[in-house]
Amino acid sequence: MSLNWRSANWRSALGATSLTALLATAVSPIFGPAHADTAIIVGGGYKLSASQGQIELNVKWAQDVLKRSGLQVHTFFTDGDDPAVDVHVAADDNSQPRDNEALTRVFSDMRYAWTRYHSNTVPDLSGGTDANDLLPAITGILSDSSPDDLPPLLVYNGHGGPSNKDADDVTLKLWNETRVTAEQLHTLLEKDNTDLRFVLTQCYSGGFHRIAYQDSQQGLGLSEAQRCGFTAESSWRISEGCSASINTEDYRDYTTFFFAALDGTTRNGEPLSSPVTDYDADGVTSLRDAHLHTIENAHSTDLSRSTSEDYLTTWQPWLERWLPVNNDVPDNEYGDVYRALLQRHQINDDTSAARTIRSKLKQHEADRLALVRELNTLGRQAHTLATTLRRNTIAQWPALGAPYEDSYLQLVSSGDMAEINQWLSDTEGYAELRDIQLQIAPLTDNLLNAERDAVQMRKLLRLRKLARLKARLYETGEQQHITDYERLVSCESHPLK
Amino acid sequence: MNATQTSNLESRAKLPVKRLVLLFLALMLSVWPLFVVCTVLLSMWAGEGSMLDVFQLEPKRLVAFDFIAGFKQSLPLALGLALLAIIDYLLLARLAGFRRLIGLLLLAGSLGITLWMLQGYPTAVVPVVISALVLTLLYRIALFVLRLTSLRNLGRRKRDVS
Repeated sequence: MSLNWRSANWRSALGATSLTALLATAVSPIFGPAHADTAIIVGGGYKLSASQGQIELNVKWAQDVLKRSGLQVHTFFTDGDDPAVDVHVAADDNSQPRDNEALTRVFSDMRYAWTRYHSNTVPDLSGGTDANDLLPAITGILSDSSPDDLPPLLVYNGHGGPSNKDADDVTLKLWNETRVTAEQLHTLLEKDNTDLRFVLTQCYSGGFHRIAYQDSQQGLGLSEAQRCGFTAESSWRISEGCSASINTEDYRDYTTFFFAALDGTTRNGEPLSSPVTDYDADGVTSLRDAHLHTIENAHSTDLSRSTSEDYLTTWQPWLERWLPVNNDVPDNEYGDVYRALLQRHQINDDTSAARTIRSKLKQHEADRLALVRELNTLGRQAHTLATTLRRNTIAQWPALGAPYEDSYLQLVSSGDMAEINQWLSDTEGYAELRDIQLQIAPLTDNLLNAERDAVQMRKLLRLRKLARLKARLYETGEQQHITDYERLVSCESHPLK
Repeated sequence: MNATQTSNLESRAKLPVKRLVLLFLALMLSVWPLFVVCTVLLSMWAGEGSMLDVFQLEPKRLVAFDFIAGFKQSLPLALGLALLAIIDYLLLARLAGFRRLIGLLLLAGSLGITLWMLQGYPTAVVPVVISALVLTLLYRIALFVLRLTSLRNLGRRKRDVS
């Protein structure tokens, strides 16, 4: 067996991770510090109103996990060390009654009533994420990484923009409303033939799989460099996450499950609900293991994917895209995850499974549409009531109609706001508005849950498709395509370090 | 010589080029869409098919691109089947005794050629058989309509002459 330093299983070939760590520690005092594998974390919103607390908490947690794994971590977040506020969170005392509740309900939105702002508290920042500063900084870090290291790991936690053209036109939405497209990143990496692994959790993140290919727009030919990664969603769908809530128990995004699998515990320090399956049986949780664990365990709206999965769907012969499929689900890792999920959703693994899944999907979609209709109706009623109440209030206190002007400021400083709030509370229509608004919040949660339920069925259908595509590639694919696919799987099967 | 024999001789003497071109184009253009309709309906019945999810989860323009790509890829087959229909017409449709067998050559040919070409795709058999049957049926309906039209035209010409 050859000891290929860059192969997927080099660690298992050596015997144990701890042995290499021991060797590195023993050798470093003599030859200087050992070169650590590199991770780059980029996070935060593109402006204050889009910079949610969840992103900050995710970045801090991912940074902690990566550091503890022994990686050299470079973190970039919104405005960097600038003391200006760059994160907003929903205050955790939002169940308390408010003195100005009626005014907020009529003139603003209760969702924003408890918003608080702060300057980020992410430690050890290397800089901000304005694209003009970020790209040169990342280029420098990548060029410093040694070819003997594992491919550097890029973790992005923030927002993404869609593409109206090809998949590679999707964007990372960065601080100061700057952007980087997948095509730009591809060009940057191709210039020096740079290796890269990536974990991208933003909306429309799937377009970034194209950085693994020679041509970012089309084709199956892979880049000469070793590139692969994991994304929360496809190029065309939004992903779960980006809540202002700081209650981490609520988080269901890709980061939450992926890093928990890598770390072996949840972000709150609890044991995982189910153990991470070691699919390549090398005794280490690889990024691919963590990804498959996420697919199996995340009850979220994400249909997450890896580059090798993207490769399989791109490879799918044109005719097979249109053909019906048989009922067999081959025995491979996708088949295994599929069967585990089937059991969890109490669906029989028989020839009618696909029809049962489709029928459940239809039901969840119907529930979702009913909720959307109900929410739209309530939203319209609330809007009409709030408009009438606003008009009546401004008729009595005209200064309220022109905030930031002198008369308004006088009104605020006069202490009359409490009286106006009381008047509004007693006005006809307000109680109804409050009732409607109180109904909307739980319905929105129900809608999210209905979407999550529907996606679980879509996930099952996707797993069936991937299981078949993988089997089909080995049955009928050209050798070059099989080799390329295995190259991607090998890249994904690296451990963190 | 009776009227039917005269009609047969007339139709054998004059090759209806316009009708043949129309028939050729109609068949060539309908092969792929027909196949797609059959496969999508079958997928919906079975509860599964790649395109069902692509249609719901990806932009419609991508589905359209895939459809056009499929049309281009299947064009050689569609041309072959359209040609077969013309041969079928020339051999069978214009001879009174063989009219009942119209489309037989097209049906046998389309099944044979397509299934031979799609040997590696076991799930293609059912949609191919259904598509071939529907294609033959449409072909017969088209010929029937064309024949009715030409008979009406012939009657009008006879009235004009008398």
